[in-house]
Amino acid sequence: MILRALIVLIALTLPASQAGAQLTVQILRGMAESVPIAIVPLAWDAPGEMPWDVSATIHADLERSGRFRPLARTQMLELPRAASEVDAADWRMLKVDYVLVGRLSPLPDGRYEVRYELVSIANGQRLLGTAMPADRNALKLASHRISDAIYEKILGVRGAFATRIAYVAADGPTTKRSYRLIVTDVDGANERVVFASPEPIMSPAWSPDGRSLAYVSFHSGLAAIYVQTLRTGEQVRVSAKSGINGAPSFSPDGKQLALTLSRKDGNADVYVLTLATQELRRLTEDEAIDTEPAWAPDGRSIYFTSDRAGGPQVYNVGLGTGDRARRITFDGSYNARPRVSPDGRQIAVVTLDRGAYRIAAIDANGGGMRVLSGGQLDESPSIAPNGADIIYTTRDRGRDALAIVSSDGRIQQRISASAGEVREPAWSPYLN
Amino acid sequence: MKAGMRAPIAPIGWSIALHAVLAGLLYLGLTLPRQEPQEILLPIDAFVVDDAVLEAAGQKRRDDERVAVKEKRREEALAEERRLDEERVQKRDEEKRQAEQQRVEAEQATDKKAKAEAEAKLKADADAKRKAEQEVKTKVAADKKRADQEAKLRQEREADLRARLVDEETRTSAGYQGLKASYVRAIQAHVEQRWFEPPGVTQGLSCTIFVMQIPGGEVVGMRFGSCNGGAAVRQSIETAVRNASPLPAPPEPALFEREVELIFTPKERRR
Repeated sequence: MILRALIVLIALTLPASQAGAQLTVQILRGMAESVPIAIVPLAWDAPGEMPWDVSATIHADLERSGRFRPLARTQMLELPRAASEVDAADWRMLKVDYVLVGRLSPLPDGRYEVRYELVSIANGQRLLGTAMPADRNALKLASHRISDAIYEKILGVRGAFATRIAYVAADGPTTKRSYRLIVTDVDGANERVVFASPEPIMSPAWSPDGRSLAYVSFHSGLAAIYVQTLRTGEQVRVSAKSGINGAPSFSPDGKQLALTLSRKDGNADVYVLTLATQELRRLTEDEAIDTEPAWAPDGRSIYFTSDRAGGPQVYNVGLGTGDRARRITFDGSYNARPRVSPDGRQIAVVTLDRGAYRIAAIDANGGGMRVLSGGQLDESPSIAPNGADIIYTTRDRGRDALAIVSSDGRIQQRISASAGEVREPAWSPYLN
Repeated sequence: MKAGMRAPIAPIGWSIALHAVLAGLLYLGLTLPRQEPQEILLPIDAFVVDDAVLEAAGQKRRDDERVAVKEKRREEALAEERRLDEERVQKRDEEKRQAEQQRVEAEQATDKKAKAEAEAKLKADADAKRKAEQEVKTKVAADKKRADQEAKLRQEREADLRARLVDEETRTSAGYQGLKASYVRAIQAHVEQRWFEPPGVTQGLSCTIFVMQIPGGEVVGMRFGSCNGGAAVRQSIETAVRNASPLPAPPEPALFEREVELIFTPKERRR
């Protein structure tokens, strides 16, 4: 009896000691370029054509982000309409990690309902399952929102597919230039001109609610800063001091504007303008050029560019009384045009990198510089509201293009090319 | 020299003295006076008849009567004694008989009981024997079964132990360590190639997942250990591990481990 107990005991302890001899492997990086996903065409049961190809929009969104590799429809072995119809083995064979299924149906009130489910093939889990009603003309936006949700489920941050880009385009011969302030959906669709002028337009900046743009225009003959409401087109001049009126940037609460003024002494410094009262507060007082202010997301400090140390470098100044500016960047001879990430931890700058101007990211304390872009003359970074991507302009052999780089530098893409100049893209906040 | 002369003279002296003593004793014995036997005078047994004699006769009669009475009483006493003796004997005999009867009866009872007992015992013995035989049979079978099982277990255990000893020897060798390192690198590369690292959310990530594989490398199970990653990161890791199945084969079969611990600790990207 004791012998048997002993044998049992030994038998029980053996596997445990073997488990202690396991292999330990460290995984230091993800080498997969993108996530394979299948956006199965939504089922459409009603008579007539589908009012909008929701699946195609999602497919394009995800593909454009560079982080997904949507499977071509022609390669799909089956077209399941619901999560319960998804045969994991088939999709695994196609090396697909996630499958989006659903259907589009008309509602009695004339609207439509999109039902969709996202399934993880690895574990069979249903990660999303939602029904969303939408007007016919909102089906495209609904598609972007579905892309946002997929992006968030799989990548951990909300997608920015339903956001917009503002930028300045300049066309025509130098003697007869035409300037346009343009807003487009982030996928390049729905391009519309917000303001056009034969005089230069500069530095568009989004209000935190995404309803207005601040920008510099010379259409009155002198530089002035305007705030324009997008829906109505109403344009309000908020700053027209003598000298430079430039580089507006909204405070996180939208009530103030940081801007560059030179005023009477002709020296550019950073000021804060309270919009409702027109109250002006001077933030920097230095003989050097201080410009390109950008608010920290917590609203307590402002980053800006100054050449007080010789070349342009990025500084930070608190908004408390008596706060002094401190230098942030020390890597390289040129670091300018700071833009702060939504979490306040990263700052995008233009840096002079081995003879080329490129987009780089630094930690908020100035350390850890990563050069992200690879062009020769890359300018004007603007960070997406999810912090995942940075849009900028790149100039190559006389042609301007808008380009996007992921905040880790892995994904780079050009999103539009123009015969003329494309300047100063500004990525909108989330538009709800 | 003088002493040597005297020694042979002493025994001769002693011999002469002894002879003289013996001669003296012989003379004395011959000359001692003899004691003569003396004459013994016996008393004469004779009686005289006279009144005294008559009186003596009467006396004699009375004496005789007394004697007779005495005799009679003596006889009576004797008879009584005999009777009593007889009674005693009878009683003894009766007692003896009764005792004998009791004994016989008891014996008979005992015999009967003994017989019954004997019969019962016989039966019980037979039962017990049968039972014992059955038990023995069962026990033998059980013992054999257990012995077989134990032998089988022991064999397995020994085989396992031998295998592990060999394994242990192999494990400690330098060549083995090199092979193990290359096995670890193979698994690392295999998983890294299949992991899409969600951008921007893996900073400071430390996520352990225990992966169970079977020979051939097929992943049959996984469970997260300590992991500070969010749902999307975990999802990405689970998918990477699933897609990494089957895991690469070890360069040496002894290197195979059922459980592989994968620790996802991405290094920050610097370009």
